[in-house]
This record gives sequence, C-alpha cells and structure tokens, in this order.
Amino acid sequence: MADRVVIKERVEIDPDNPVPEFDMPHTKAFAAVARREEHGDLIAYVCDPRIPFRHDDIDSVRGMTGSAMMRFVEWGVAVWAPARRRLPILVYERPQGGRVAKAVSDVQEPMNEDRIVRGFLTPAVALLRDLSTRGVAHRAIRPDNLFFADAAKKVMALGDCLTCPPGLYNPAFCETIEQAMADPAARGRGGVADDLYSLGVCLIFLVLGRNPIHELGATEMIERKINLGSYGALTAGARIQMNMMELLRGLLSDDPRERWSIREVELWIGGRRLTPKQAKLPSKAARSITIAGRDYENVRSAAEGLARNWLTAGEMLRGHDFDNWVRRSLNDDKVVENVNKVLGNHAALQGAPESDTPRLVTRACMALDPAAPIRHKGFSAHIDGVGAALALEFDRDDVRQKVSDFINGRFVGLWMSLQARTRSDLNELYAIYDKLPMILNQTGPGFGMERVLYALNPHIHCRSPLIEHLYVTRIEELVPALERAASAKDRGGRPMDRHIAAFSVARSPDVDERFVRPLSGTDQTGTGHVLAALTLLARVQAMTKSGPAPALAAWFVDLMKSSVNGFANLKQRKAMEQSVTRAAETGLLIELQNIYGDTKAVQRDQQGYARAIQEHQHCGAQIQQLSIEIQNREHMASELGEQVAAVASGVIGSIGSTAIIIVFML
Amino acid sequence: MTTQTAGRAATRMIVIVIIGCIAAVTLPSVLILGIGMLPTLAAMITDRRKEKYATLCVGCMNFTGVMPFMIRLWTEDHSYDHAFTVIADPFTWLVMYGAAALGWAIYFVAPGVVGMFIGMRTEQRIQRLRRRQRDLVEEWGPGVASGRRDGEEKDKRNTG
Repeated sequence: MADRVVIKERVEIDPDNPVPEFDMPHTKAFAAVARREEHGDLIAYVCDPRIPFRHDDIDSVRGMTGSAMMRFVEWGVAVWAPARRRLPILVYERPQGGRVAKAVSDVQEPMNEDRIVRGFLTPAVALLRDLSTRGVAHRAIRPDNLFFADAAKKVMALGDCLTCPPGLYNPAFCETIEQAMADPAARGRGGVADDLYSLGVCLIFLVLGRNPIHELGATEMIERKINLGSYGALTAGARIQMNMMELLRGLLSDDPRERWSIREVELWIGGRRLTPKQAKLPSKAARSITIAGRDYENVRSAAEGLARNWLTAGEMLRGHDFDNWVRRSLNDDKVVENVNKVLGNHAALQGAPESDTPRLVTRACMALDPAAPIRHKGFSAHIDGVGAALALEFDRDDVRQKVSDFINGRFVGLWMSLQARTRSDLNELYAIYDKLPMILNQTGPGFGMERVLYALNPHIHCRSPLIEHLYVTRIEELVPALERAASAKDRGGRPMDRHIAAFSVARSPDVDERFVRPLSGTDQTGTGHVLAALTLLARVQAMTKSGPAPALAAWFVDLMKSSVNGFANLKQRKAMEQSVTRAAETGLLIELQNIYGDTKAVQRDQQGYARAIQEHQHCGAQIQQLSIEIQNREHMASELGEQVAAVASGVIGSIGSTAIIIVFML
Repeated sequence: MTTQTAGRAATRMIVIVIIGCIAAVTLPSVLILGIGMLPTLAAMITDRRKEKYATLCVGCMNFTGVMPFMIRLWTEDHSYDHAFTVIADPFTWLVMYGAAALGWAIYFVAPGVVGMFIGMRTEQRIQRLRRRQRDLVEEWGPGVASGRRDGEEKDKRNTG
C-alpha cells in the first residue's frame, strides 16, 4: 500500500485509488482530497513524463470559476511511489456526473437544443471568453473530454487541458483543417478560433448523439473537409435543425475570418437568428493537377497532396505542368505572387540542385497554402508546436532527424512573411529559430538536438538518464538533483551528459557557451572532461545558490583522482589531497574547481619533475664518474703523491736547513 | 742557429770554469758534499721520470742531512784533515744517509697517503650525490630514478 502523496500541503492523493473513468489517453487519474479548503471530491492527473504539460498556462487557468470546465485546484511535482520517481501531478475538482462520452465513436441519445444551449453552449462560451481574456486557449475540446458537472447531468464541463500539449489528443475531425494537417503533437498553441471550431464539432456530436465520420482516417478527413467544407464533412448529410445549422455553419467555417467569434455565438444564444450562410468552398482550378497519380482540383488539396508525396513531387514541381497550373488554371493572383516570392520563376526552379527538392516541395506547399502548417519531409508542424513534437518523441531517431531538417531548412521566416495576419507572439519564437541551425550543427555537449529540445520547451524537465526520474525543470534544482544522484549507491559514470549540459545552457543566463565548449574535447574519458563538467556545475551551483553538495563533490573527487595522482611531486600531491578532502567536505564545487583548475600548479609540477629527472640523471653521471675515479685512484695517487712527496721534502728540508743554520749561528 | 748553439756552449763553459774554480778553492767541502750526496746521485740515476720527483725528494732531505757537517767544516777548520775526520765519523754517515733514507720514506709513503685522502674525498662526494638522488626520489617518486617523463609515469599509474 503506497503512502498518500501530498501536493503543497493542500491536496492528498491516494495512489491506491485510481479513477479510470477520468483517465486521459496517456494520463491516469487518481482520487484525491483537499486538506483544508472546502472542495468536493478531487481527481489528480499523474502526468506521463514523456509528454510535456502546459506549464505556461497553469497560472492562467488557476482560479477560474464557473461550471464549464473542471475547476483546477493545484499542481506540483511529487514523488509518485508506484513509478518510483517524481512526476507532475495536476489536481482538479471532480465533475459529479461522469463522462459524457467514453469515446468519440460512442452512440447516445441526441440532446435537444435547449439542453445543449443551457447545459453546454452558454457556460462553454463564457469559459472561452474568460480564457480568451487570459490569453489561453483550451485546445482539448472533444466529445470524449466532456463531463457532466452535476449529478443530475444537466450541465456539461470541459475536461482537463493542461496535461498535454494543445490539441494532442484531439482527433482530426475535432480540429480545423490547418490544425488537423499538423502532426498531433505539433499543433502549437492555437487560439480561441480553434476552440470555437472544436466546440462546433462537439455540438454536432451532442445534437446527433454520434459522430458520423469517426471511422475516417485523418488524411481522408482532411480531404473531405477541404473539398466539402467542414460542416458538410462533419455532418455527413445528417439532418440538423435549422437554427442549430446557423450556429454550426458559423462555428465550422473553414475560413478563420468568417468563423463565428465568441461575440457572435453570444448573440446567437441571446436570440439573434440569421439565415445560415452557405459554406465557402475553395475555388476549383480550371483543370485539375495530377500529383502522384491523383488529381487535385483546388490549391489547398494540391498543397496537401504535394506535402504527402514529397518524395516524388519534385519532378512534377520542376515540370511545366505545375507552373502552367499555378499561373493559368488557378486564377488566384495571391497564390501566383506567393509562388513567385518563395520559389522564383520556372527557370530558377529547374536550375535548383536535386538535393534541394524537399525544400522546394516545402516552399511550394507554403506558397499554395500559407495558413497550413509547415510541411517538410513528412513532418508537419506549426512553428510553436515543434518543441512539443520533439519532446514527445525525442528518443526516436527519425523524429529528431525530421526536426533537424525542419530547423536547418530555415522556413520560419519565409512562412511568417506569407501570413496574412501578423502574430506578435511568434516574433520571439522566430528569434529562437534563427539561432537554432547554428546550435544544431555543433555536435558537442551543450549543443545539438538536446539544446534545441530545451530551447523550444522552456519548462520541460531535464531528460538526462541520471536525473530524469527527479523531474528537474528549473536550473536551481539541477545541483540538488545531481547531489541526490551522487548519493545513490549504484551511481556510475559521470555527473554530466549531453542533456545536463544543454539544460544548463538553455535554462541559465549565467551559463554561456564558454562553459560547455570544453566538454567537446576529443578525450571524453580524461580528467579534462571531468574538469569541464566540474567547472560548469560549479558555475550553476554558485549562480543559483543551490547550497552545498558534498556527495556530488565526493563524486568529482573520485573522478579526479587520477588528476591528483598525476602530480609528480609527492609532497604537493599529499597537500592537494588534503585540500581536496577539505573542499569536498564543504560541498562547494567552486572550491574543488579552484584546486583542480589551477593549471599553473600543474605546469610548475611538470617543469619541476623535468628538472628533477635531469638533476637525478646528472647526479647519476657524477657518481659514475667518481666511481671511475675511485677505480683509478692508484694511478692518480702515485702521480699526485710524488708531487706531494717532492713538495713535502722540499718544505721539510727548507725548515730543517733553516733550523740547522740558526742552531750553528747561536 | 749556429750562433745560438755556440752561445750556449760558451755559457756552459763559463759555468764549468766558475764551478771548477770554486771547487778548487773549497775542496774539503766538495769532498763531504760529494760523499754525503751519493744517495741523491743514486736517486737521480734510478729516477726515470722526467719530473725527477724522487731525486728532488731524496735530494732535499739528503742536503739537509749533509748541511750540519758542511757548516762545522766551514766554522771550525776548512781543511782536508778535518774533512776526513768528519767523514771518518760513523755518526756523520748515519745523519747524512739517514736523512736521505727519510727522503726515500717520504717519497714512498706520500702516494699512499694521498690515495687514501683522494678516496675519502671521492666517497664523500658520492655519498652526497646519492643523498641528493634519494631526496629527489622521495620528493618526486621513483619515476625520476628511471628517467620516465611525466606522461609515461601517469600511464604507468593509470594502468597500475
């Protein structure tokens, strides 16, 4: 039996009490209770660590009142015993009436207009207005994410929208054409217009009691929506009451400019009734164009066909047929202008090298359908959705390659220049994309795809295998997490990898590329690499003031043993060992770094060692010389001895003679 | 060339004449000196070295032994009789030849003493150098003794 998990002293979650009826596709729900406040029953969503949750939007959703959405209560990252790791947990008030539909394929009793308007549409539109003023879109409005807010099942509420990227679990039929074209994880933040469209899809489900086209695949769904219009495709000929038809046609308009706004829906709820507008279908070309054996009659479906057949579309794109079709059959000056802008004239197209074909296809798709996501080599993404797509499937080589190609293609600026509306929120993102190719094309730690991952996902946790289970999202948590990893009995390797390096640079303004470049050295196993890692983490620890980390310091001491042993001077080595031990006990990595990073000491030691060898050799040579001298002592002694004897005799004789003379003179 | 040789011969002739004159005047002294300095003459004959250390050694001591008798001759009576009396005294022979023997003794003992001194001094220097080598090994490790450079030493440690 697992202990209850407590979030910020406010909520207790029971891991032994799952609530499967509230599960999201990849997120399990568990029963929870509030500790102090008066909340009803709560449910806690324990997030899948692979799936980035909407951290940015939590504060906006917090404190929202009204019954149109499950009320958000609290969130936190906590140790989730069943998974033996830390996980983000989001807590909501539990809707009393359960789920409206368990799956999008469910068939149920159709609801009457009055019940739908009172119980769903009115509160939902009020909610969307509230969200809109807070700058947030729900982006998880779909039939199987609707709940009855009350036990009497009169009022319906939208379910959770924070546990996954916007629109991730929305089936293609719930999404606008532009959003449905994008890979589910790469749909981007979207906006209230997307929510209103999804609201329209839910209304059809409630009105009809079923989804007539739930069995269709995404590709076919998109094709139908383009060719028939969303309303026609989604209702599939089913009978809709006239007054509801007006609302649905307004909400499901494929032209965002014509789609009903919140205000128009509110007016409709207030009783304004107009003649339903006919769906505005894309204008057909004078003749169809054949792409990969299929004929396409309008520009949007042709762009979609090009994107799907990017491997074979190059030849067609370079041919005269495409140029003629665009310039003569489409009869759309805007498209011709776009094509001229991004592809140039036909001669330029033909002159482009073969290797540029995928880029040309991408550019052609952008020119034909600027509102669509950027589609490159089978990867289809809105520019604010690339980060989530990468985070979701980072372990897959093919996804990393697709994202890499997408970034290196430098399509973002061009795509933005083609947009009819300028979105100021994308300017910041454009600045990031502008720098990414340079970062991506450097292979060392702190660069590459890992850095792209953290640059595009400002709140994602560090994916290093060493600390992934600790769910570190902020730079301040990095050193304490590594300290915990260092305290583990089975620690191995090094407290540094590509993820930690990239996370540090991306998250901390105080850690720039000077700190990660030394990690790129050719010798990834030597002490130089460990010292670079120590320098980086010492910087992080110092700048984040994250407190002492003695176990981590001890780990570094272990790794740097060979560096200390590398000191030839035994006294200095001993002194260094002592100072290293003292520094490690403080847990301050900067202290260790100061010791190990003293290159002058190393130089002095090396020079001293060289001098010592030289002196030892010199002594040896002298000893050898003297030994030879000892062996030849007899010869030297006889030579010198005779001289000494002559001198001694001379001296003695002189003294003796002088003494004799003196004696005789006295 | 011829002029130089002639000059030398003349000088030698002059010196011989002067010495001959002095010897003629001081014949008793020359007698004692000649008999007393015989060991030196023997040393000169047997000493084959160019430097003539043995001759010098014996000669100095021998002359010191002869000198007291020469002075007695000069101070008492510089005559043949007195010279023969001095020569006839065995003590004279003991002193003169004893001094020469002392010269020989010095000549034979000095190389041994010098050899011993050189040996001691060299041993001391070797000890000092060995002590320095030991200090170096103590300070820098055995690597300095085998003459390995830093990298090789580290490699050995790492593989060890």
